[in-house]
Amino acid sequence: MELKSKFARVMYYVICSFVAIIFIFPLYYTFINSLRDIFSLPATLLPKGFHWENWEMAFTLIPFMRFLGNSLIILAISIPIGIVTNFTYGYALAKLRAPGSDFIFSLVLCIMMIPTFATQIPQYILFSKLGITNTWWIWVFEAIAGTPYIIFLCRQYLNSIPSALMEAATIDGCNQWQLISKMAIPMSKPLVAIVAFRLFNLHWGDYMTPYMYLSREKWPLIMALFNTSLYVLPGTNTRPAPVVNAAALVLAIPTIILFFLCQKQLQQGSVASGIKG
Amino acid sequence: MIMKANKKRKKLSPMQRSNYRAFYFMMAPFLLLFIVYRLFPMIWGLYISFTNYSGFNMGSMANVGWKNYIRAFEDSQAMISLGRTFLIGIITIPASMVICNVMAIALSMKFKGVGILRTIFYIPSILPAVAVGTMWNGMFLRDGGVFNELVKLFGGEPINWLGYDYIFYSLILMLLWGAGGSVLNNISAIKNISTELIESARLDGAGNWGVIRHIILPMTAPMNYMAVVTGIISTLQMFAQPLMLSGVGMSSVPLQPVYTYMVHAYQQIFANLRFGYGLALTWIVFIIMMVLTLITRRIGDKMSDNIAT
Repeated sequence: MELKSKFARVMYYVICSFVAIIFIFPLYYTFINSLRDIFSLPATLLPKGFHWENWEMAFTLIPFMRFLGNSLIILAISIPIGIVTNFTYGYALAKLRAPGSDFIFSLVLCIMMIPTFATQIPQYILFSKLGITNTWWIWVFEAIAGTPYIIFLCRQYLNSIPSALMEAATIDGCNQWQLISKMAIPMSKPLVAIVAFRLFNLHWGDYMTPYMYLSREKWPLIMALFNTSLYVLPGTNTRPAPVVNAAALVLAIPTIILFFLCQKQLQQGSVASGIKG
Repeated sequence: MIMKANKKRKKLSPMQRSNYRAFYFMMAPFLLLFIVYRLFPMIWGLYISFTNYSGFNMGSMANVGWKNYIRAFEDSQAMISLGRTFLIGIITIPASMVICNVMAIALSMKFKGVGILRTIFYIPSILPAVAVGTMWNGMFLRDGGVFNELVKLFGGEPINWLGYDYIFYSLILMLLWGAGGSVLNNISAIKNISTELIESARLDGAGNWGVIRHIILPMTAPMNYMAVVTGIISTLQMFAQPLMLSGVGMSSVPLQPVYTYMVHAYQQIFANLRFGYGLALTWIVFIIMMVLTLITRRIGDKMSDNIAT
C-alpha cells in the first residue's frame, strides 16, 4: 500500500503520531509519577521533581536482591532447557514423519486450549505428594514438558526449511544429529531468539506458579510487585504510589529491553513461520 | 487386496527407520511428561470436580456426582461473573481486532520512523499483566490521576474511575491498550504479499479499500484467527488484571463489576477451599473455550471463503 497524495501522507503521520502518543503515554505517565514526592498529587504531563529515592525504595522496601535472584533462578532453568526441548519437539514434528506424529501434533494444539487452572490444582496435589513443592524442580518439569504454543511456533518455523535440502544432505551421508547441528540449528538463529523471548515473558510475568508452589523466601520479583501494591509506609496510612510505579517499571523494563534486543529476529521469525502452515 | 498386503509388508528403508527412531527418541520426554504432567492431572482434576475435596479430606473424599456442576449453574455469582467475562470479551476482542488490523495496515507502509511506531504499539501487549494493572491503577486515581485531569480539562466533575460505576470501563480501556499483540505478525503477513498481486488488482480498478478487502484481509486471516482464539482463551482466563487494576492484592476480591469468572473460581479454591467445586468451574470454562474455538474456526473458514470469492 502506498499513499499517493501529499495530504494523505501528512494525515497518516499526524494520526500515527497521535496514536503512538496515546500508546506510549501510560509508560511515560508511570515514569514521571515514579519520580514525584510521595505525599504530592500525581503529575499529569510534566514531571514534578525528580525523587530518585522512590526508585531506591522500590529496591529496598522489599528484599529486592533475593527476589531478583529467585527470578533469575527460574529464568536460568526455564529458558535454556525450554529452548532445547521446544526446539527438539518442533523439529521432530516438522521434519521427522513417523506413525503417530500427526496425532502428537494435534495433542500439542489441544493442550494450548486447556485452562492453566484446570491442570494446576491437580498438578499441585501431585507435586505435594511427590514432596517437590517449594523446590525448583517444578520449573524443570515444566521446561521438559514443553510449552505448546512455542512447540507450535518451532514446528511452523522449521517446516519452512526445504525438505529437499535435508534429503540432499542425508544422501551425502549426514546422520540425524548432523542434520540438526549442521543445518537446522544454524538456520534457526531467529527462532532461538524468539523462543528465548517468549519463554522469558512467560516466566517473568508468571505469578500463579510461584504463588502456588513456593514459600515467601523463594518468591520471584513479580510476587513482590503483587505485594508492593499493598504496602503502606511505616508509621503512616499512605500507600507509596510513586514507589509502586517505580516497581511496575522495574518489572516492565527488562521485557522492553529484551524486545529491542530480539526485535529483528521477532520480525524475521514471524515472516518465516507465517502463513505457510 | 494382495497389492495392499504387499505394500504393508514392504520393508522400511533404512532412512525411514532411522527417522522413526529419531522421532520417538526426540518426542519421548514430551510424551512421558504429557502423560505424567498434563494428562494425569487433567483426569484427576476431572475426577476431583465430581467430589467434595477440600484440600484436606483426601481420605474421606466422597463422590458427589454432578452436584458441583449443577451448583455452578445455580450459583448466581458464577453465572453473573461468567456473563461479565463474556461481555468483556465481546467488547475487547472485536475492538482489539479492528485497532490491530488498522494499525497493521497503516504500519506496513514504508515511512521514516515506522519501526518505532510498531514498537510502541506492540510493547504494551507483552508487558506483565501485573505491571500493566499497577500502572493503570495509577492513571485512574481519583485525585490527580490523568483521566480525571482530562475530565477536569473539559469542565467535568472528577469521576471515581476505580469505583463501582466506572471500573468496568476502566478495565476495558486498559485491555484495549494491549490490542497490538498480533500486530507484528499481521505486518509481516502484509509485507509478504507480492507487490505484483496488489498492482494487478489496482489495474483491475481496485481502490485502497478493495485492496484491503480482497487481498490484505484474506492474507492476514490466519493471523487474525489465531489472535481471536488467543483472545478468547486469555479473556476467559483473565485473573490478574482486575485484581491489580483495583489495587487489591491476591488475597482480596475486586469490586463486583470486574469480578471475573476466574477470580470466582480462584476464590472457591483458595479462599473457600472448595476444590471440587472450583475445578468444576474450570472444566465448565474449558468446555466453553473449546466450543468457542470451534465456532471461531467455522466462522473464520466461511469468512475467508467469502472474502476470497
